[in-house]
Amino acid sequence: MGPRWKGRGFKAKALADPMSKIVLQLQSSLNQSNCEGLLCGCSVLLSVEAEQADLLNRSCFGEAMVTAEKDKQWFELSLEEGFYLSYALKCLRIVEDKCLKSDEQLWPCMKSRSALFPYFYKAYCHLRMKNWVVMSGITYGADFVAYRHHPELVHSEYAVIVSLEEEEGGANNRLRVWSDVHCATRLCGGVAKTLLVLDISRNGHSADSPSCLESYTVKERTITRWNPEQCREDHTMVESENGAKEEI
Amino acid sequence: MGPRWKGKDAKAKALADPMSSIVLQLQSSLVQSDAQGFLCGCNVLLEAGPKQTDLLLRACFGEPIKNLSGEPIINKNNKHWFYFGMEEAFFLCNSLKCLKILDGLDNCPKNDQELFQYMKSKKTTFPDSYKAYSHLRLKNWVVMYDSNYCADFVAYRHHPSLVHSEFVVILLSEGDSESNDRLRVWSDVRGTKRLCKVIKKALLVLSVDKNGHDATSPSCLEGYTVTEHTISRWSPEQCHEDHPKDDWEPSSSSVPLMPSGTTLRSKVALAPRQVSLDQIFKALVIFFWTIVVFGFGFALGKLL
Repeated sequence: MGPRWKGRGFKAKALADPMSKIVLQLQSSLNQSNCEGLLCGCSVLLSVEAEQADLLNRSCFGEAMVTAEKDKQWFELSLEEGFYLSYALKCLRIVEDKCLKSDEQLWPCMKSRSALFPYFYKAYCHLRMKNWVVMSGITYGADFVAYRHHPELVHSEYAVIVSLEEEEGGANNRLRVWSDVHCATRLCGGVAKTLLVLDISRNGHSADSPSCLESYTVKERTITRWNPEQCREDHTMVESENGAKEEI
Repeated sequence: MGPRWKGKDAKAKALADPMSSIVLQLQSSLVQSDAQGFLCGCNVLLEAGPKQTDLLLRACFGEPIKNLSGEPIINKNNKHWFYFGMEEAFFLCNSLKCLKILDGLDNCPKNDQELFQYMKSKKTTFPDSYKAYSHLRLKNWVVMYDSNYCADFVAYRHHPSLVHSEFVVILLSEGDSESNDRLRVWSDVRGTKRLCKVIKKALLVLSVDKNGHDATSPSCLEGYTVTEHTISRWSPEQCHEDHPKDDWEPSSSSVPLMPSGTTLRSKVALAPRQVSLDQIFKALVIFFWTIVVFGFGFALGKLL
């Protein structure tokens, strides 16, 4: 199932303004302004100028919040988004309780808020590094949805479920029983998306620091319905009883 | 979401021929004929004469074995072969006491205890799934295995030819974390609920609690309890205090609507967009004037 662009000329628009370039512009702009985000609950709150607000919107990081402030725009980023800007793009500093946190200090803060944060972040980062726009997939029964470009230009192509290795199974693993696989596949089919499963393996490494992430591996699998008629190796012509040829 | 009957007379037909009565007739027929099924893997096979075939089909127990063309196979004794799932077979045997089950290999009769242990060995969650199955069947719901949707069972108010199924049933085992593989995360709840909406069924979660009883024999099942929850979307507009009570059906749910530690926001439409009368009136006015303007322009063009 290929990309479904939302209008004529949108594909050309996307090609003319690739997401990688928008993200670079965002990175550069945030770096120049020495931006600081506030770690608050399970979100990172960011106050930015108009130019950065535009770049955040175009690169699909966070969600603009409605506030009474007129000079600045507040954005709410998820933990994965905030940590990606901080750790991977190194363009955001994050503060908690007025203390600036280094990546090493931020890591346990993130893990304490979400036990499976290392896995979800690895999946998020894996797709973002490939220039996919990654957003919450909760409305589709998935962990993320992945867009080829901005959601205004194209529909999301993949509903992404993060699958954990066996020993981490615990409370949060999906697709362990057939009914769940069936449900997820059928729902994806109904919303014209492909189910993409990202198997994250720690390869025996711990999750004590963000540097461990480099040793994690991500395996991508899509799950789709198998249609026998579409998967025949050859269509041979056979003669039926009355001599007419029928394709099987 | 109430029952969706398949046709004008379907409801009357169902009321005239209640499922409880059909099941009683089936029970009586099987007892009279001393029916014996054969245990074969995870199924029980039964040879059924014409009358029992009719009753089994009407009561929705088992499936007739069919040939490649989809036609039920009739053997030389003019009987159909039916195959039952473990829950169905055990219900007929243990609860309705109208079916004896023999080992498929050596024809030795299996008592309830042996059967129970055998079925548990084939499916570790059998005690819970059987408890849930029998819980619904004893309330006269038609319970069938779900192969199309996303759940453990599908529940019908009466025969599937008369009414669409109302519930997809997911089974949860209280306190048994290893066998609980569904609805443990919010994405699964949301996805399942969304699919239920598409297929116009309600999501019924049956939580089976062993209450400290083990699962060594079928008599333990009497100590189990089954709690029913339906999960539905909460619509703020429908839940206002001054909203007429008739329009609001409360749904009980022990599943938290939002987990703690949700990391990614999602844009949740809390209620479907409703078109007001005012908007309809405005649209009609615009439409009317558009027709008038075009008509006038057309007439003017003709004149000139």
